[in-house]
Amino acid sequence: MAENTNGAAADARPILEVQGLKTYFFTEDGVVQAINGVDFSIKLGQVMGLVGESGSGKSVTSLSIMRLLPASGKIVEGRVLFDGEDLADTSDSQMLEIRGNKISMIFQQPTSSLNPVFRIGDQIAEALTTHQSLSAEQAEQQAIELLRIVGIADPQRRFKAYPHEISGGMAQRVMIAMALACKPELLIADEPTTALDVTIQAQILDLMRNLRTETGTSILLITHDMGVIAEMCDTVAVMYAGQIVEYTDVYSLFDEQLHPYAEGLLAAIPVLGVVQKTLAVIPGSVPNLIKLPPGCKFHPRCPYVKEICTKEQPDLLEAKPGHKVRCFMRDPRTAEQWAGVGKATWHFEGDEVLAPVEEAV
Amino acid sequence: MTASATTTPLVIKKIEREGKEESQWRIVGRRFARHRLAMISLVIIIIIFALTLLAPVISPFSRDAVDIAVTARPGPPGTLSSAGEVHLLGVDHLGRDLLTRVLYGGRVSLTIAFIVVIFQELVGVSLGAYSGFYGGWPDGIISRIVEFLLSIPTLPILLITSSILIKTDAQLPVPAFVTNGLARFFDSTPQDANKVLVLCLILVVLGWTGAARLMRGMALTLRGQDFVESLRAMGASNGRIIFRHIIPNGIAPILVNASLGLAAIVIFESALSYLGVGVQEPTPSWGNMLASAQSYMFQAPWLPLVPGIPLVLVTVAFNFVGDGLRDALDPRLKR
Amino acid sequence: MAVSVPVAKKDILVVENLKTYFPVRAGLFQRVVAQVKAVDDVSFTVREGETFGLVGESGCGKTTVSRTILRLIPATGGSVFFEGQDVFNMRKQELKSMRSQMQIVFQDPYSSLDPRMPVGEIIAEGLQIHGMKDKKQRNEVVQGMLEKVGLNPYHAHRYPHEFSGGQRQRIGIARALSLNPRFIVADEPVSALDVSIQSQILNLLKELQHEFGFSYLFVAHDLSVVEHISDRVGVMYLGKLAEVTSREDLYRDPLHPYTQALLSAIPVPDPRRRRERIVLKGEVPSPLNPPSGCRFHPRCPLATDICRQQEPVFEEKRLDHWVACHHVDVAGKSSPAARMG
Repeated sequence: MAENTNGAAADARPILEVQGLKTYFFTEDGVVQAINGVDFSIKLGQVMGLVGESGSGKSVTSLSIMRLLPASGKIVEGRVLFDGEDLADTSDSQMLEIRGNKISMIFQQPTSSLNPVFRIGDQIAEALTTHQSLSAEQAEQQAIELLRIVGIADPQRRFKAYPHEISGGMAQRVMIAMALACKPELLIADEPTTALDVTIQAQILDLMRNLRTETGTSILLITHDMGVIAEMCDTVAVMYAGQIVEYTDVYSLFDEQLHPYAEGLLAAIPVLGVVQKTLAVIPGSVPNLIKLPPGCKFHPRCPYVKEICTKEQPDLLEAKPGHKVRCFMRDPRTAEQWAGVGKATWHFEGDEVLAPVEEAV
Repeated sequence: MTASATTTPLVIKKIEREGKEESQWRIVGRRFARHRLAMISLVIIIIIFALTLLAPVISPFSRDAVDIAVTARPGPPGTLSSAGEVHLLGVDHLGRDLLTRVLYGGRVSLTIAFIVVIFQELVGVSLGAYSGFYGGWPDGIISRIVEFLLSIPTLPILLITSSILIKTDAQLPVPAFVTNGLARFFDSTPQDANKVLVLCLILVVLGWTGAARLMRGMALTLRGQDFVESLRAMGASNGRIIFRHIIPNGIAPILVNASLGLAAIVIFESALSYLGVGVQEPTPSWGNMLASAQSYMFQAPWLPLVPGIPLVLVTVAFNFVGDGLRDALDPRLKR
Repeated sequence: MAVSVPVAKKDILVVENLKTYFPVRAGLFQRVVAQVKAVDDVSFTVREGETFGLVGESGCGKTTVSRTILRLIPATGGSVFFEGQDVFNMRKQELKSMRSQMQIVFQDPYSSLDPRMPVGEIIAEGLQIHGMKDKKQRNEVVQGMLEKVGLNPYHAHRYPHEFSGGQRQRIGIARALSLNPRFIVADEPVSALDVSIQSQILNLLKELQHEFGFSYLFVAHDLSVVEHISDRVGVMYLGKLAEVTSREDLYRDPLHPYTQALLSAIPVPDPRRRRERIVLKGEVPSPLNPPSGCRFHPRCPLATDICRQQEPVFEEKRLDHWVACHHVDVAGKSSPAARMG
């Protein structure tokens, strides 16, 4: 596993530990179980990826860590240990101190995250002075330096630019500069490149990688793009319907997916240079988070489904060293039910609902 | 990928509950029904309108008949007529039965409101949709007219134009059966019905701008939507796009506007009639009844209340219906 | 796959020197002060039964190309021939009948369906426009279309809001197919969808093409998706085509430095293939004020003086491989008969 944690020592202490996190939204239509028991940890200097489709709960996880949930959302259970301190029940004022200072966040829409009426340099300077006592001049100098670090040409001039005068890629650089203003220990990046073009995405990913090597900041990278995960991350957690279904280092995940969802998801993506006649299809769609299916949340879409999957909930267990998965097929107590079962073809049309075979042949 | 060793799960094609299909209008109806105040208001409006339609059944008196036997003019509720019948709400200063007149007055006031609102929304929606969809110079002209009409103070203009038109006995070029039908409905002469129509015309001309602005905005956003582009790619005519797609999609705020408009028109008509340039005696309307009650307010305090209470009830009710519609049509609410 | 002798396929769509400029107006009298050259001299052909993929980053003009071909946006110059007919010089009636032959599938599954109309009516509308008066007949077509795209016939009575994004995209495809077109513009049809839904729609588009034999102009920004679905690919940069060739040649042997950079920028879902990428400097310039000479030169790692001064000619540098770059040498052309345009 040593090669997987490039940069960070394998036995580094965890900077962030999320334990049994449950976040629900209480809406008019019912209780939305956005996160249903999420456990993971990020070690110092590590890049951890959280991957999933819309509605998988990956963004809600980051908002729960930052305690930035909307009024209807509530952490109902679990702990978020940051440096040993539980963020789930620190006071609001302490949280303000942590946000931006120790944990920073960047979002998908960089242009709407900047205040349109202030110059970008002043916004960075403000981020600096919020948590440090600096003179205006010092703050300006540091802000220009940060703009230079994030690769903005002519930082003195750009300091005076307003958000509408810069492009999306540059705005994301500014956001990163702001996020780095106080040398945070953890950077949460929520789909940081989804709104950007590929060539700009490549620039931003390069920037984030370099910053990690230079500053040693840990990164929690949230994305739906398996390519970005493969490029950037040391460890990966695959989320589905508010739960982590597979959690391992990046090489193990791409070598062998133990959870059927991860298997189907990777097979469904067209890969550059590999032309297939048809792509794999995961049948059905993401479940309604108000009325989740019983048993394994993935069973109505799973080609390996057996009766137990429709009745009981699987646990996230270590199936191979360092490789955790939430699936009865990998659970030593139930694995023999799948003895002799080969790989699924994932040839579906799309709207099938899968159910177990009635009687064993 | 060896298919032979694959699990073959029982594949069930998605079976969805049938009969769940629900048009958006039915959803809106259901949401409206849950808005209690709006529902009560709707019932009140329906009752009042029904009462005015049933005027001849409810009241034994004719609209303009002067009861010479009654000496107290205005007479309080419960005054007995020469024939021994009860004037439930009393008689006015000329000795006419107030109940009968307030019911006929309601007919007139509400009919005016409905006619005006229907026409002003029709004009506003068509011009707004046209101007928003086509843009360019037609939009420029229509928008300038709207701005001009909105910038002039309404009441003085209403006063001036209606006093001119009504005093000069302007004849509207409407088919005879319309004026005659209206005259029979109001129990008045065709000349008086024509005056009511003149009043309606003035209110329509000054009142279509709200609907036009709403519809123009809707058309502007809708014409950029992909489904309109797809219609053009299929070869749909502009008329088809406007009438089958743009207007039905933009109609929600128009409905809210219309129900608030009903309240406004009732008030406007009353104000004009009160000032003597709206509906003319002997045709009653709630407005001119209030006007004639004014001189006797202190001897006969019930006089202004008779048209005043239904007037307030109706306008408040229309406003609540508008609120209810607005909530029911709000796309941010789901169910 | 066995190497098949290339059968000369007919061109269904020929685009020649297409230009679409948008005027920029300013001031009290809305005078035209500048032109945004969204599409500037673009030529390519789409062959019968094939998919032509048009890729590029946002603002490169790929969507404008597709809308101009369909005459949804007026062209500034050039011409488009659909099955030999000049699209820009059609009379009203000709244009209408051509519209049934060329259809479009949109990116956004939400704004592309009229929310106030049941799905059946949405699909039947084209039939109605093109003179199918009998309601029963229309219903039959609608039911057939719904089944073709993998939906249930009883879905016809439902409203768009009752469907998921993927299902709505299927409805949009059914609507495009209802008129039995020969050519379909697919404008980013999967980029708004989740990964697992994306593959369903891509498979469906391929299956339908196999069954009905129509051609696609597949507009997308995702090179992996385009590779999966296309037979030939054109790469656009700032209103111009940088490179056009077969899929195999484009992905195996990209000649234009922009194509090379674009291909190397895509993150591949394989951590062992993390590689040295060509990271382009800077950002796409504004089409309002494009750079002189080759439009790519400010970002190009190979740029020299000639690139700054002279616009490269878009020419056939290899057999059926068209490139606009000063630094690619001509190494072989196809016979004039097979040349495009």
